[in-house]
Amino acid sequence: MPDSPLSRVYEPAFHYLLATVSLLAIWQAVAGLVQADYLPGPLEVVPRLLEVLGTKELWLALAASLRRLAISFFFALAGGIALGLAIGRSAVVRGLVEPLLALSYPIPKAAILPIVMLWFGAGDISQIFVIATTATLPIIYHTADGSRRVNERLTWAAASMGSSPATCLWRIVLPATLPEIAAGSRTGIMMGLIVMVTAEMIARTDGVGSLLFVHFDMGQNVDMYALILLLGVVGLLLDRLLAWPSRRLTHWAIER
Amino acid sequence: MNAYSSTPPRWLGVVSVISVLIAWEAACRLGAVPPALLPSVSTIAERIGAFLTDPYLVAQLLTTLKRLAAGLFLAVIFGVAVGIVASMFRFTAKMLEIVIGLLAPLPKIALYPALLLSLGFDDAPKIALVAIDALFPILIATFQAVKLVDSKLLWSAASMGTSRMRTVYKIILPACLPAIITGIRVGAVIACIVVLLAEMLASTNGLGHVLVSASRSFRSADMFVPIIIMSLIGFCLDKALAHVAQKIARR
Repeated sequence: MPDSPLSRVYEPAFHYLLATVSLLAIWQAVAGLVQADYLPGPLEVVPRLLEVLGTKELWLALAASLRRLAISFFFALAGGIALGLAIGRSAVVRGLVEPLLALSYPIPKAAILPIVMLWFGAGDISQIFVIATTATLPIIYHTADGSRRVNERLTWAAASMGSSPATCLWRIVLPATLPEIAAGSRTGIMMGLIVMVTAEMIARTDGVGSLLFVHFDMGQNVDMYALILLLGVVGLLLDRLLAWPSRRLTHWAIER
Repeated sequence: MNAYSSTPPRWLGVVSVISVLIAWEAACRLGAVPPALLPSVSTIAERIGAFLTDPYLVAQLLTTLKRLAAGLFLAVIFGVAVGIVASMFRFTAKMLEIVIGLLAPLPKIALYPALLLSLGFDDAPKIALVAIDALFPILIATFQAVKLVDSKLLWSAASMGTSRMRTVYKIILPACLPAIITGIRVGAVIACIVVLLAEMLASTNGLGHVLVSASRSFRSADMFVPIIIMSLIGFCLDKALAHVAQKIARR
């Protein structure tokens, strides 16, 4: 009964379980084969992760990281949507800004951190600047692309019934662009997470990336692997977390 | 067609890029920003010229390029091979999809300390990190492209007795090539970024090391040079691959 309601629920869950267990089993097998300090297996790392989840040090690092990511994401969302709408709705703005964006695309954002640290110091502001810049770009691209392809009959109809351009933008273009904005936000926050970890590794002030290298320097290998595992879980949760509201907000959209 | 989807004239872009550069240069010349914080465009251009004639620095560039090429090569080989093989069977395809979903959100750079521990401090951990980071876009692009290959082509090949191996060579690979190249384009830009970062975090040579030593001695103009060179390499690699993809599509 390949399509019974029961199998529709349990089969994917079973597949997920199987894939996760196999990944952990492969990791354990490799660790067992090399038998070395530099590669502890999950049987050692997972209990250690549960242990460090009870320590203040870890939660402080995680809070510092996520706070930076949240602030950066807020700026990226505000700036990205505003600039994206301007690019999408005005050919002049598009002509002026798009080449600059295309040039900035291959710039290694985390690598400019040492330069930005000259301007704003080694603290939060520099790291937030770099994370926000990274997360803004995909939001701009997606918003510009989506707002450009809004069905013009909708805006014409609204304009003919006396809506001002601002009302059109707020009531028609923005809602119609939401699916694209949601997609851009998801890409943006995942790229932001990567740059967050990298920036913390470079600045070495606080946060998970910094703590990772502290463990590395002190030879606390099991703690280091526990932190890597935790970052994987955080990434997965963030991805899921952003998938949920985007489905809720844009369930009406046709999948493109 | 409407006003919003019309393509703006090209000269607008040229104007904006040139005016940003002029504004930057003017701000530096007029003393609006201290040169220690933001060196002028002309100073940076001069430093890039000096970089390309210094044998030590060119050697660092070559070291970085070697790591970039090795990592990207591994990512292409593994990404395309695993993507094609896994999508040939329903079970492995399902498993690969879940494994990608589980591993893709992990910031790969977090693996770097572990790679340093296991592979030492020389080329190997940098190459490995580049390969892991560039692997995912290539793997995902390949995997999804194979799923979209017209089944009628596969059926007719099978009905005429074509072997599985030959089907991969003669049908699947050519059909997926444009999508694979798109994946490689994304992977290549990521690889350029990651190789620089890996060298910044732990290295005694390469462009990333040049950047870190410039930042330690506050030579701000020299900090821009490795970043600009790496961005240009990424930009050109991306454009070159786009050109290849266009050629293939036209064939």
